[in-house]
Amino acid sequence: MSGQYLGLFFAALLFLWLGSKRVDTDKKPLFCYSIVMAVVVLCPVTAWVLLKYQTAFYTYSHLFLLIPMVLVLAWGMTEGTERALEYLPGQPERAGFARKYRKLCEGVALFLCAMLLMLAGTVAPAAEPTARTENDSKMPSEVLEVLCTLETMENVNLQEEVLLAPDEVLEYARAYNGEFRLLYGRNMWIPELNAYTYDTYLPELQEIHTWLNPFNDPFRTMIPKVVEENMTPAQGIRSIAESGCTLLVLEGAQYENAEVRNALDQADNFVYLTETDEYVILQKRK
Amino acid sequence: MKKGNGKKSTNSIVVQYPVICLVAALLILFQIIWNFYMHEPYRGVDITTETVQTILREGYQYQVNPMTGAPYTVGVPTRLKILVLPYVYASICKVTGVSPQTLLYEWVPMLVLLLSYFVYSRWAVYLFPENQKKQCIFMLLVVLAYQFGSYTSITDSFLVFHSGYEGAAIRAAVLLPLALLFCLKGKWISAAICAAVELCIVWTTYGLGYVALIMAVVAACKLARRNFEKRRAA
Repeated sequence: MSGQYLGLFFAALLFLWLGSKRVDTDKKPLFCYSIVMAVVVLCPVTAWVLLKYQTAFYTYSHLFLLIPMVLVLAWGMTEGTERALEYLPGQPERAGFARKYRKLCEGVALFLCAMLLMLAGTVAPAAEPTARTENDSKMPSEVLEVLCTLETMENVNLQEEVLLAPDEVLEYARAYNGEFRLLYGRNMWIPELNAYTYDTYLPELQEIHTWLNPFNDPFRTMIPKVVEENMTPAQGIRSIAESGCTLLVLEGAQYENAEVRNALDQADNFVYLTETDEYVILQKRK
Repeated sequence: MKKGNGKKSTNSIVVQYPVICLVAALLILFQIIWNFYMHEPYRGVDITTETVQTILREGYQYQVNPMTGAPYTVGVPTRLKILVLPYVYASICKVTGVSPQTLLYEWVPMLVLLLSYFVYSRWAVYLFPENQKKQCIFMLLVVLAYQFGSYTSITDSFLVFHSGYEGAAIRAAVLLPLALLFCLKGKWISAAICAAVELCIVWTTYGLGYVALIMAVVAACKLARRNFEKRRAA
């Protein structure tokens, strides 16, 4: 049960409408705007027009940003708190017990508002999982270790190398350092990012991506993607060598796989460079 | 004189309602530390950091794909080139020497969050001009609504807390409420400036953006209301 702000928004609007005689004339356009915008966004016909207006790049849910939800919620609750206190006995200007009693009631009213917002919203810090910060670069430590190693190695010239690694490493490489050149970018596994470029990837690169990231799927089901269609390790290593990749990062477990080791030994294209706790770094033989 | 009055007014609010102000301030502090310093941002389908790194490395021209670092073969959409935000961030990084990660994931979201609360404080003054207590309560409720409101990835608080450096977050948390306030006050030129800013920081895909829509709806509401009042008077 989370995400009921829209319900609270309508409750706040209803409350403000019921007490609209008290609302100043110059505030009424805000009231009108809130109702009109909510209706326009919720009505299928007008929402369709708005979807056309904002273009297909954005989804229907983006339209809800047009409704001044936080504003109306806070406005309605502020008015509600004040009006609820009007029913209390005792005058606000009086000192002593009545005044203290009133302040206590104010505190309770605010606490109830906070509870209402909490119940209608979420106590979770985010709808999408975001990891705890492990370092200043805001990336997983094991990934930072690989990128730092690559950055500082003497026999690696980043400007001349083309890096290929599992998605979790490539995801952060370009954000960490603009000198990294990648065989493919995040738009390989996040298709929405293709909106930022007209360039596309060849099917061979997509096959390499699938081979290197057998468990990569948007729903994190940990079920390998169509395993029977994946390349064999020998084919994978050969394709990688032919693709132009000069720096290859493999997960430790993948590198230890007997088939992959055999394929690497037989192809003899890549030489072991170094390794970190989680990954092994290979460089193409020059 | 005016500045002095404002300072006195702020002081008196803090002195008169210390508990509400303290709770709101502590919550804002918690939001900053928890979201910007203790958690990674939600990058999703955004390439701002890569673009800033690319600009810092390659210069101020879109000749290299930010996602790969390789030169473009087919090219880049013009709509991407007109977004100025990555250029601004890259320039700040260049001038100050601060890393893009620190700027984008910590400083900018913090500034955007504070700017957002500043805009809502103007709303508090607009809605309750003579009542400082209501202004305080309003601000506390805004902070609470932000705190508990990040339940989907498109709410304004989620955008600010988890990707506050994106143009979409600045639009949702600062530009839209500010533009609405300007429209209601009848400051149409200021609202038009907000619309222009939106076009520069958010990819509106050749559209006019949300601020222009808000301006149109508020104008229509005002016109309808005026006509209604006229008819009633007649």
